[in-house]
Amino acid sequence: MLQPDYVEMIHGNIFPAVPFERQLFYRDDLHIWFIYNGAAWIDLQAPGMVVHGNLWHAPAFATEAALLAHIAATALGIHGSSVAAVINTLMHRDAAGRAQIANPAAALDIDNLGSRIAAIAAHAALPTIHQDAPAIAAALIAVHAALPTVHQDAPALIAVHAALTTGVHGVGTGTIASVSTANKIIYVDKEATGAGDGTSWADAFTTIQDAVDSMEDIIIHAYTISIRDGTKKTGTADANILNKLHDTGEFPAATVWAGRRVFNVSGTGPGNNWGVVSARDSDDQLSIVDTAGAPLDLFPNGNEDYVIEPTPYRETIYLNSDPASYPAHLVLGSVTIEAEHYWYGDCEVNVNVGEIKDTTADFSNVELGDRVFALDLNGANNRAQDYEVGTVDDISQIGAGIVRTNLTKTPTTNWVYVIVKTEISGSDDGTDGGTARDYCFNLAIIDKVVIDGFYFTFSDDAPVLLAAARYFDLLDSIIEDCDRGVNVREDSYFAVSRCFFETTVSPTFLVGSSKGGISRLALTSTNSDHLFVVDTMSRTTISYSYLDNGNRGAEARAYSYIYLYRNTISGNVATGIYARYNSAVRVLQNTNNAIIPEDPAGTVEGAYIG
Amino acid sequence: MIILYLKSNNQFLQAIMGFPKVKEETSKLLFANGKVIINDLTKAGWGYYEDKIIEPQYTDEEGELVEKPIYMKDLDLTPIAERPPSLKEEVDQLNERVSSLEKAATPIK
Repeated sequence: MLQPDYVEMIHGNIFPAVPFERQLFYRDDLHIWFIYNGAAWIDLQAPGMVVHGNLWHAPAFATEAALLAHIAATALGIHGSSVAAVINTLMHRDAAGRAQIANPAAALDIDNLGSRIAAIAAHAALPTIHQDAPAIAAALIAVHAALPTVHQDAPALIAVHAALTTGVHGVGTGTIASVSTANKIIYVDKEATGAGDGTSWADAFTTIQDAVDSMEDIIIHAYTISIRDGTKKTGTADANILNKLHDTGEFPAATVWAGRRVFNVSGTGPGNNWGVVSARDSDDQLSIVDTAGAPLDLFPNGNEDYVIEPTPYRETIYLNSDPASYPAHLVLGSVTIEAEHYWYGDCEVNVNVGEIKDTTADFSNVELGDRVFALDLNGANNRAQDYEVGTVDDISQIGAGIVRTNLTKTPTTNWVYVIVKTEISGSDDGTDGGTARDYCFNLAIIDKVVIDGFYFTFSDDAPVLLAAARYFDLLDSIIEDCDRGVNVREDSYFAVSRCFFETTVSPTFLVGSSKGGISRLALTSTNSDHLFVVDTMSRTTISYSYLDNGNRGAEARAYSYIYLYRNTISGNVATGIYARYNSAVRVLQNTNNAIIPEDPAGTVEGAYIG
Repeated sequence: MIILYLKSNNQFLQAIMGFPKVKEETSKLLFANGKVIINDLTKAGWGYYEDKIIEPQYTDEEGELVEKPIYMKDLDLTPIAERPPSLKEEVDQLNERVSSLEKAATPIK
C-alpha cells in the first residue's frame, strides 16, 4: 500500500488496486507512464499530452489548418453529398432547388413524381368505373332488373312464404302449428250478417263452434269468446185464445218463431211460467206448447205481457273432444267463453218481494224474460239456507239498480244473485221430447277454459262434459230441464261456482276420478235422483251451497272424499250424506235437514262422517 | 237389524246392523246411540227385521255405474214380530215394577 505523504516510483504489469490521485505508475508491459487522475489512469505519452520532462511528442490528430479548411468548406459535395438518389449518401439540392430520391417502396417512404405518375396511369387504365359511372350504373340496373322477381315482388313472395304449411324452415313434411300473437276477443252473434270472421259484433261468427275453431293451434294469450244473446220480442197479448198467443200484426213471416221460448211475465206464479212456440199460425198468432209438446194455455187472461226469447244457440261445442272433426288447441294462456249478459253480485237491503237491489251493478242490458237465480247466505256462519229461481218481469227501475222479478222471496243483504239470458239448448225444437243432443259443451284434454254466464236447457245428458281437462271453471250459469248438470271425469280439475242446476234424470253433478270444488250452488233434481255424486277416487269440496230435492244429497263412493262446509241439505232430500266403499265425508257447519241425515249412521264400511 | 225407508214410496234407504237399540222418538226425530238417524218421522219409517245382507243394484250408464233405488217389496225382509222394547219402555216397565213392589210391601211398624 502506498502512503500519501511520499512518492514511490512503482511499476508492474498491473495497475495498483487502490491508487491515489496524482500517483505515477510505469506499465512494464506497455513501457508507458500513467498518472491517476482520481478516476482513471491517464496515458502520459498519448499524443497531444503535455508531459513533464524534455521530450515532445507530436500529436497524432489533424492539423489546425486542415480543420479550419474543413470548417470553411461551402462548396457542393461536402461529405460526398449528391443531388442524385445515391445510397448511403447525404442529399443536397441542385441549382434548381431539386433533389432526387429513389421510388418509394414502403408506406412511410417519401413519394416522388415518377411514382405518382405511374400510380395515376395505373388508375387511369382501370375499367371505366369513374369515367362512365352513369353507363355502368345503367348496365347494372339492367342486370338487376333481369333477376327473378325477388326484389320487386317482395310482398307477394312473403305472402307465398307465409302460406307455406309444409317443409317450412326445415321441419320437413310436418305442419307448423299456428300460435296466438296477442290477447283477443272473438265475437259470436247468431243474428250477425257481416263477414263472419269474429272480429266485431257486425262481423261476428254465428256459432260458438266456429269461434272455437278459429283459434290458433297454440294459445299463449288471454282469449275471450264473447257471445251475444240475440233479440227478444216483447209485447202484450190482445186476445184470449186457448193455447195461443195473440197480438195483432206482431208475428211477421220473415222472422223465425217456432222453437223459441215464450214467457208470461205478468203472472204472480212461481217464476217458471213459460212455454214454447210450436208454430206461427199467422201474423197475429202463435201456437204454444209446454216442454213436453202438449198444448199450453199460457195466456189465459188474454191481456198478459209476454217475452219471446231469441232462438237459442243449438249446438254442441267440441273443444279437443273430437279432433277428427274439429281442430285441437293447446291453451297455455286462457280461453273464456262468456255469454254476453250476466251479472253477479250481492243484494242490498231490501224489503220488497221479488226485487233484486244492487246499486253498484250495471243493469242497463237486463231485459224482461232474463232468468234469475238468488241464493240466501243468511244461515248460521253465512251458510246457504234458501234459494229461488225466477224471471225478470219489470225493468222500469233498472236505472236505479233495481230488477223486479217474479221471485216469491225477498232477496236482501247476504243474498247473492245471477241474471243470465244467453240460452244454449240441447233441444232443436225447444221441447224436451224433441230432437236433442247430449252436451252443449264437450271439453277434453284442455287447460284453462272458463265458461261463464249461460242459460243451459234440454241437454239429453250433461250440458257441460269435462274429460281430462284442467283448471276448468263454470261460473254464473243456470241449468234447467237437462238430464244432468255437469259431468266431470278422467282426472280433471274443476271449479263450479254461482250456479243453479235443476236436472230431470240422473245425478245432478257427477264427478269421477277428478278433483275440484263447488261453491254457492243450488242443486235440485225433479225426479228425486242423487244430487252430488263423487265417484272413483275423487276429492271434492262443497261449500255455501243448497242441496234440494234429491234421493241423496252428497254421495261419496269408491275411495272418494267429500268435504261439506257451510251448506244446507233440505228436508226434501231422502238421505243427506251417503258414503260407501272406503269413502269419507267430512262435515263442518252444515244444516242437514234430510229425512235420513246420514248413511251410514256411524263409522261403518270405511265411511267416516263427523 | 233396523231398516229405514221412505214412507212416500217405500224406498229402502238404510240398514243398520249390529246397532244399539233405538233409544228415543222425539217429535219428528228418531235418536239412536245419541245421534239423529231420522230427521222427519212423518216422511221416513223404520222397523226391526231379521238380519240380511242387502246388495246395492247398479245400472251401467255409458261406463258409469249408477245405483238403482231399492224398494221394500224387493227385499223380502222378515219383520221381527215383537220389536224389542225401547230404552224408554224398559225404564217405564222398571219404574212400574218398583212402584208395584212399593205398594205390595208391608210397612214395618
